[in-house]
Amino acid sequence: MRVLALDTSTAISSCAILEDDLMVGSYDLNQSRNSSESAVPMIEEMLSALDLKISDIDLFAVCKGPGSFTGLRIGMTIAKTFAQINEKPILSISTLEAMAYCVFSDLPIVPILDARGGRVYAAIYKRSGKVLETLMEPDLMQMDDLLLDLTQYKNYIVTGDSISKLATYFPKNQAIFTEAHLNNGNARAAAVLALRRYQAGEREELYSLVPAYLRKSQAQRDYEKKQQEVSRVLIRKMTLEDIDAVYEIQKQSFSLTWTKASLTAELEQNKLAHYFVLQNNMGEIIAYSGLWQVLDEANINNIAVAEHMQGKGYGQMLIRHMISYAQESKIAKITLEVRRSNYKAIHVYEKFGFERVGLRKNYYADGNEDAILMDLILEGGLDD
Amino acid sequence: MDYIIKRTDLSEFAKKFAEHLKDGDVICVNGDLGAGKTTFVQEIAKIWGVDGVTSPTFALVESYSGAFDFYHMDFYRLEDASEIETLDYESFFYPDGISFIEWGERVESYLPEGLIQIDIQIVDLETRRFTIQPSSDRALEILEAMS
Repeated sequence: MRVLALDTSTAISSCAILEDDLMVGSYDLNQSRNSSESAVPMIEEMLSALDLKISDIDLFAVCKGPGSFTGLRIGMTIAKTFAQINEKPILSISTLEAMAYCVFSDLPIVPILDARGGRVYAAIYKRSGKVLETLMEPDLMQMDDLLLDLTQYKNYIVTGDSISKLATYFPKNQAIFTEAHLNNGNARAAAVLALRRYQAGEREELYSLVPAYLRKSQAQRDYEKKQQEVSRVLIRKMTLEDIDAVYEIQKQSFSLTWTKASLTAELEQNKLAHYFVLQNNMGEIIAYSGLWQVLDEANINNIAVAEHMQGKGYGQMLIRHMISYAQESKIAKITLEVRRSNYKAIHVYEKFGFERVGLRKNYYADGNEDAILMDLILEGGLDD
Repeated sequence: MDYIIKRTDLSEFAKKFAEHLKDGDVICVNGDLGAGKTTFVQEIAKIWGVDGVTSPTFALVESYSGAFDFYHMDFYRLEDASEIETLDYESFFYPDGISFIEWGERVESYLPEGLIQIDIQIVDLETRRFTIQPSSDRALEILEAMS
């Protein structure tokens, strides 16, 4: 039986002809520049070199994906057309399964394709003799989620034509990478898999064959976006309604707190004071900060992030916001005091360009801790 | 961060913004009809040596090659977000080069993370307010670089 297999799922297209247990022809070509345009000429060239006609093929096989959207459509269309015109059977093979089928090992086999944006198409298989058992179905996933799934295996084999790009993400002592001769040319494996399945009695309906793009449904996307919305934040001026929430955050962060009355006075009476809150989409206050503006100088007198939201960069967003506020207000210098022991905060301020300019002994009333004085000189104005 | 820009200063502002862009960036240009979304993209294209950028409303996507390879998309005429599934949208939303998207809100659930969002508001006939939203790390980097 003669099988012609075609794979256009990735940048490197391949086609192969299998005669029973002999691979009589195979052809790999990088087509990243012309989206699988040469797939048909590749097949023609191979057939003609073998002195075969398309009508000599008994079974067509095509890699159905996942992979490049355009590539999959081209490959599927070519294979279906050949099968239909010549009235021959066609079988579709998962691209990831074909990739994994190249590997002989008892370890879990992880074929991956780069889906960009930190995402991969991946599956996990285990070889038992001539068949692959599926440990994880092909899926589009975040690289991080794949790595999390893989922590359950001590060692595993990673294969695919993008592993050189993605290798750095994998733990060195766990992942074993296949080499170039196994990383593409999936048509060869697809031909073997298709022949085995055909001999085992498997058939597919030509008209129901479609590429497996593995795109997420719109419902799934909407759900995920909604989850993200919750974590989206905005910074605005503090109002009297925020005082209860701000007071709570303050209590978590400082041993010396302002009373609600003094916060109210700051907002209502102190013309020099400017307070900001950072809230999430649910309207929950996550952090706040404040500065006093005297002529062209501003002093950051307060900044705190709710305990359970710390370490997510919200404090830095507020600092950035206050700096741009100061720039817009033509302020020339921002000053602040920070506890000498608060290395983390000092480091963050330095990142924003603040410099240590002095020390105030016994500044903080609780335990008489020293304060480091820091300054940021601004060029002044919007147009710098 | 807001920038109030006169029509005569638009190319200068486009240049100031564009010089911080790099391959892989996806920029959503938001604003009403007539706000100047396409005009803004045209100005950036000119900087990269590409003239003749037109609104892709009918084609949905146009691709260009200049100092950068870039895509310009406009989803105004989509009636349903899922219509985008007839396109190779992964290539445009996770580009090798740079992508500009108009009416991205029509396909919101398909948009990638890490977008740079620019809002354009009409102030008067000759003036627009450009707002770069601090909504992603890339946007923050650009805001910082521009200030």
